[in-house]
Amino acid sequence: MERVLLSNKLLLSFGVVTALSTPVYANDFYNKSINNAPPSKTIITISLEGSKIADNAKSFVEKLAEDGIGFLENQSLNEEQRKKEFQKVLKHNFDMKTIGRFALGRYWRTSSKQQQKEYLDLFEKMVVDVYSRRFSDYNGEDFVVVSSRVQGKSDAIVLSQIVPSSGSKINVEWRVRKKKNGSLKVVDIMVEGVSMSLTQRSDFASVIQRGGGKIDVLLDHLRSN
Amino acid sequence: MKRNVNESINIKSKRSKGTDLALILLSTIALGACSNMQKGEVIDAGNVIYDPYEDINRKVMDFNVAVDHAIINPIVIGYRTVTPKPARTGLRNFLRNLRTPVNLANQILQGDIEGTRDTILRAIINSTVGVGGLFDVAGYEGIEYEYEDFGQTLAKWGVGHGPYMVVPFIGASSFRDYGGFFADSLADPVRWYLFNTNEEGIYYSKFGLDYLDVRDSLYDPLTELEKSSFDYYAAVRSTYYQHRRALVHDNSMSENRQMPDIPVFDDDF
Repeated sequence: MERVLLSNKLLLSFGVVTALSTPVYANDFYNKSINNAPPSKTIITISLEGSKIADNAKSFVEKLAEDGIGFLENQSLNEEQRKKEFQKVLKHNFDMKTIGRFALGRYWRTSSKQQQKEYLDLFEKMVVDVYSRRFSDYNGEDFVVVSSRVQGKSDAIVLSQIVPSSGSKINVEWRVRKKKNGSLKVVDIMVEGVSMSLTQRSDFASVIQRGGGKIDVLLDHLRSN
Repeated sequence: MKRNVNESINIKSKRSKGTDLALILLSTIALGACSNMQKGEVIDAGNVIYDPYEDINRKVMDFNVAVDHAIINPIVIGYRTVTPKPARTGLRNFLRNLRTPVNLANQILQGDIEGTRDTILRAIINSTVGVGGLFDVAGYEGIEYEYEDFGQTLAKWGVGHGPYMVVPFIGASSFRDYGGFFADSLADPVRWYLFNTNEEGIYYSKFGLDYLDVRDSLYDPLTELEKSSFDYYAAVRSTYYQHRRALVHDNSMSENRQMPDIPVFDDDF
């Protein structure tokens, strides 16, 4: 019994050390955006299993950013190829079903299987179109993954910053979910605390409500997009 | 309503004794506002948005959008063409430095010791090494700018937004935040000083530059949101509430902040 307890203690301290050794920038002491929550609290809330998800999610976002910047900087691609490339990245790394379903909110249940399917297809197409338009905005800004933490049961929040050559940094958080099959997928992106999924959901909800509560109104919008 | 209760519990642990009386006074106002939260209430995934004047708000927004397209956006684009990015950043830093007294007062009212310390340090460093505030040396060293206003202070004290409102030429706001905006400008010592020395002209120029700077910073996100949303009004409203909540929690990265509840769906289709 004594031995078991001791090894548990060892394991726990190992967990604490791992959590502490997560790379943090030296000047983070003054950086309120990261320093806001007392570090001791972080250690308590991060379990051994949890810190693993957070670490994995962090390298996942790093890889994702590398891929993303890779195709943005690839000059040999034309607009159409770039869009195709983006679609691949999106399919592979984003949980579009969950995002789409969340964005539809309570109207998901009131729509037919066929409507749901069409909606998800159109939704994905819309996301590709919306973000493809932004490719030209990329100006060689630096992208830094800062930290990560556990959120709820199966999610991790990865904090990253876009650092422009002049002006303020932009905080971007990636909500990464561990799926049942063990793969990691992005379910939300928050820019300066504003959730893209939530904003999308409010937009859709308002369109449907003002259209008399029918999902067809939204589908029409999506089709003509 | 559940959200409000949670938030006030959060606040309870943070607030100092001095704010007790104010909190009691203000919570009675807040409760009064809650009791008639029926008509025009929208539940936006955790955010209770109270928008009883939606019809008027939409009309004001149409007006604002028309003004933006006809006048403001061309001015912002012109400003960007004429002024290089480092100069625009310099102006922003300068204006932020001038806002120090307002930020500081609100941080003190919120009992934010760390924030108060940072704001003082920033003002000292940037006003000297940063050549009168033109360069954000402190930010470069990791002491980042924190925008505070009386709307956030009221929120910390437990006051809810009240009705959502769209203000002509300004845009998304709420009764609480718009009131806070007036309180801040009235309390601003820079304004007192300029009015007392008969330098109103400088004050209005500063006001104009502040407006230009804000519109410059809003141009990209708003243009993008307008293009990518079906109902721009609803998208802006949701963004406003989320952004304000992030500001009240002092930075968007706070761990205790409420996240959208994205359930794990069973993949049955």
